[in-house]
Amino acid sequence: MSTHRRPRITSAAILAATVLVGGTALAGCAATDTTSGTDTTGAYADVIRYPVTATIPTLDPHISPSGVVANIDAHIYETLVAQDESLAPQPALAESWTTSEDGRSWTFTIRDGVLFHNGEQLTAADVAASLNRWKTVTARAQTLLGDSEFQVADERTVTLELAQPQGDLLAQLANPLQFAAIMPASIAENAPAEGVTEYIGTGPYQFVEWNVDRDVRLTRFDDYTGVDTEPSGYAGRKDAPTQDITFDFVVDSATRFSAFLSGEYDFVDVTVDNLPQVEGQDDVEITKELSTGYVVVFNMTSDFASELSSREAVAAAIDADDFMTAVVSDPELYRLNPSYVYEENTAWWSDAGSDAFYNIADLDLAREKLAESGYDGREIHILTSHDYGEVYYKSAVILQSQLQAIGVNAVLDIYDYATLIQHRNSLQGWDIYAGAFLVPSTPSQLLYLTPNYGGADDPRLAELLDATAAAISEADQQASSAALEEYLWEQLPTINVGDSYGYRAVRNSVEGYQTLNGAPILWNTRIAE
Amino acid sequence: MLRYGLARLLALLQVIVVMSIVVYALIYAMPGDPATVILGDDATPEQIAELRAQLGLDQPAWLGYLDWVSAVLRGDLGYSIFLRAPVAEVLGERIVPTVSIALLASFVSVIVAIPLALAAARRQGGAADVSLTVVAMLGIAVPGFLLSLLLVRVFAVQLGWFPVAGYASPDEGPWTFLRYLVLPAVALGVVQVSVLGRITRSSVVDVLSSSFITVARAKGVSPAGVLYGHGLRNALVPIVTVLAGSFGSLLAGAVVVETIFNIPGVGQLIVTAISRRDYPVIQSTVLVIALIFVVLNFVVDLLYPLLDPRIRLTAGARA
Amino acid sequence: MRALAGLRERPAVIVGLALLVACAAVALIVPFVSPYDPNAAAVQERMQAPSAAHPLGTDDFGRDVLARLAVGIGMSMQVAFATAAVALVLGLLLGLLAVFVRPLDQLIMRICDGLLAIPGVLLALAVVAATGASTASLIACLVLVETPAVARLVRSSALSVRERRYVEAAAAAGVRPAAVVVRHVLPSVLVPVAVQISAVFGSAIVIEAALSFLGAGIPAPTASLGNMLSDAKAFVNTGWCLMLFPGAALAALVLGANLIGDGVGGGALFRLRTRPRPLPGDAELERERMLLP
Repeated sequence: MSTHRRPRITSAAILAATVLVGGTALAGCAATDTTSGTDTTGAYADVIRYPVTATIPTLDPHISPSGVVANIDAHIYETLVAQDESLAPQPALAESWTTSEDGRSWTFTIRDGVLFHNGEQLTAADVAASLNRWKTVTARAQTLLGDSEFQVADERTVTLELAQPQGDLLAQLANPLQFAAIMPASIAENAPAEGVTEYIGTGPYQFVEWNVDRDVRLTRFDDYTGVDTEPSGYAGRKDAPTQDITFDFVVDSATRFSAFLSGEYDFVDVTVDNLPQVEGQDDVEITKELSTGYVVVFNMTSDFASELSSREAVAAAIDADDFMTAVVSDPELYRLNPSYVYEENTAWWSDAGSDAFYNIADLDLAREKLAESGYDGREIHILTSHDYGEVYYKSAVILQSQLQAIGVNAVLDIYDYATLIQHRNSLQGWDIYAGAFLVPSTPSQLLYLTPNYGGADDPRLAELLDATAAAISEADQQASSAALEEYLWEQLPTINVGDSYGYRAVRNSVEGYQTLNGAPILWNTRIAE
Repeated sequence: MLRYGLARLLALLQVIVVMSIVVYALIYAMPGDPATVILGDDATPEQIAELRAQLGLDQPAWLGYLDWVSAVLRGDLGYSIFLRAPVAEVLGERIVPTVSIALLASFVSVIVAIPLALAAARRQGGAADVSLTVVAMLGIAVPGFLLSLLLVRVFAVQLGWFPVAGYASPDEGPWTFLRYLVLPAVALGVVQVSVLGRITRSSVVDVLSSSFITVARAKGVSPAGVLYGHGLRNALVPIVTVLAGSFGSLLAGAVVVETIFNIPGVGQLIVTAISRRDYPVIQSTVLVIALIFVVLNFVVDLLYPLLDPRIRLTAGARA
Repeated sequence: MRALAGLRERPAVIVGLALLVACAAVALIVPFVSPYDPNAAAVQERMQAPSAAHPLGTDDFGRDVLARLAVGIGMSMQVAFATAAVALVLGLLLGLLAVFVRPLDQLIMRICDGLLAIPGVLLALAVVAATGASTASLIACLVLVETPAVARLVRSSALSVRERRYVEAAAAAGVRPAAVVVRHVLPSVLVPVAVQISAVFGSAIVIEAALSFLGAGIPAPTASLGNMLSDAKAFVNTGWCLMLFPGAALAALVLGANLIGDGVGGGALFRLRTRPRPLPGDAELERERMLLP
């Protein structure tokens, strides 16, 4: 090979030139404004892009317990009744209903002239098929309905005969999580085990496509007919002023926040660390909303947790203020709450019996109870995971620290979410589980009091829960809830610690945006250009 | 040469078989399964069992392994449980971002490392040499994810030169496509700069000090000619080896970098697949990646004698 | 051991050793001197900047950062040492077996190649998913990732020694095979392997950090550099100190390990004078390959 002369200066020059040209071009391109990928034909954007925090395995509203799925599907599907701002059920697809005096027979009249996204008319057959399917795949609904099925009385009427009175029927039908979505009978009846693959509803937006792990795209359903009342929560009018909605999956919170700062999104959840970066900005509004309740759950089948005095020891050791501060990182973002529902929910809120053990942080009492239980120093396993924004992990870490202070040899078993669920369901090898739960509107909808969750095979507990489900008048509701609350603080199968808030940031150019317990409601939203 | 090639090919096949067994065994050992992930918290044991049967998860391990292997040999990489698409199709889409970043990272590292190393070798102990040393040290010591976060903070959030995260496909325009790749490529490429730079420098230095260089200079070849003509050529073998070998490490680095920059590439695909037990994706994707890695090395092995005739290929001496 | 004699003249080794010793000192001394329990949460004192009471500040649970850093450095070093030690022993065993028990050669090398073909972090992730995160499984997983390269290196070094005359002569003279191995082969193999092991040490530290970042490392609440960095990620704006200290410690450890390896192996990094050397062969390339995470 010949040795060709290439003076060093040339190569250096080439290098420098490449870097300069490349850098300028890229930096220059950076000057273009990347907002929501909209076109500027009107005063408002054509697309709303909303970042969601976790990926989803399915979009089936009946099967999935995921909050993200519920948030997306709320725009596609509707229910018989919907929650308003105060969590009260309002007419949605059901225009009216009657109930017998004993609370066991229900009759719903379906609104006329409602169309599915595929053009078919909504009939009672669709409602019955959807709700009966919902029942078979949702444990909560099975408890609620037992063997009863929704029956078709005529084209626009659906009936239900219950074995015992259920005062919470409407609340359950309105619950937005793993919700009673109405879909065409043909889809509901032929749904495969892993979930429906066609997403046809009656909502103001229809499904366009789901690029798995990237985004879900919806577009306005022009033949949407809804109720004509003031929008409030999930209830009321849905005008759909914006043509398209895209939900982007952006799992990493730092990425999400940075994308908001650079203008790609107009909505974002704000962590305590990020707050200073948005607080000062004129065009951004920061709101604080209730998001979840933190609960410590015992595995009642484990040797340690099956002893009442062990559970009392744990309850006495918990300092709820420290616990919540550690978990939410900001004293502004939590409030104490000994109950399983929010205090705004006056029909059900009660603190009966909580004086004994709520937030007492009495380490001496705790040690006494521990000794009473005959604890021998063996390892106590706290089940947890890093997934879902560290809510489980941080709870476990602070709980462990507080338990070690009284001499409990607590260890953390950290798994990914898939393994976590498996271990929790199997009831093997763990004693305690702590984390955040969505707070329902009635105690009968609490996930963590079902036998699935910690094996509380307790007839008295079941009886008290049934009583709350059956309560119809407000007086009954109050009484049954107080009785349940008192029992919980006495037997301690679970320990409520407190409620958490979250900060959200929204640009001022966004109009008509609502949230309910942190869930986005975008069907009356538009974004000014 | 032919016998060498065939021997290496046989070794390659054996390696692939071992790999496939290792991957399958690991997956089989993982607790949890996709049915639990799909059905979530509230599912009854019956629901989970039904879904498992539907997904074909209730057959013995060795049978599952044979099924998988025979399918792969027929070109069928399986069907992703969560992505609802053939794995081959998903992989084809996802590999574009990852390979783009890897190529860009390699390109960047080559244009930075090699001139720097040449300058460093030329004047040892001088400015270039010291800079190379410093960059090399930083490149090794700073973990990829830390570097990514720093890059995002400075260049994307504070300066606004590049987007914070995300990916634009090539058909959105070449400049847009590149913009989204720069920060991840730099984060990945820095380690390579250090390794490439060091090995280039040491190879070039070795040659420069050998006797035939004195002869060349005596014959009138300029210092630059020596540097490029002989120094660089001598470094070609190790450079190519490092570039080929670093494909595997770029992929490993891509796992973390793709998570931070939210890039829909192969790294993110595997991490997500592992965490939700999307078995077909894990099995076939890891196999394909390892296959590419192994084949790449195989090709490099065959190229050695072309790059440098002095390397003798005796079947025993190579590991 | 002539190779070791020249060490004192190589600044790389000295700097590297100094870094490692400094880290080890922190890990050993601070737990004795510090009044704080690294795992005890003191929530009312969270997120404090460095002060007289807390020289490196407190984290988001109110735990003293210096105390945790000491534990973290200790954990990282322990995991890395354990990995390096086991990888060394296993690698020597497998490599020597491959060379001296011919029928095993192909088998062992194919398995090693198979494991090497799977990128390290991915293999580690899969193993941890299969076994759950614990210190023992982490070490096992790192050993699985690092041993094959050591075994290959041992094998190639031993092969080149095996061909040498004096080994043949010893064998012909009737010296027992085991003795041949120990007295003649092992010393020549040890130097390149020592370099390799330092790279294994550095690599183990980085992979553990990466695993912790992905949520699969040393389980909480035990501090490790990786999980401290992972926890600190959420406070990158208002509490960047939390990232600074474990990051610096991590960099120091990895750098120290690599400098030592580099110095022992000939100091390509810090060499300021030239010296004739043979072409880079397998050993050096393997070592460079090892440096990539």
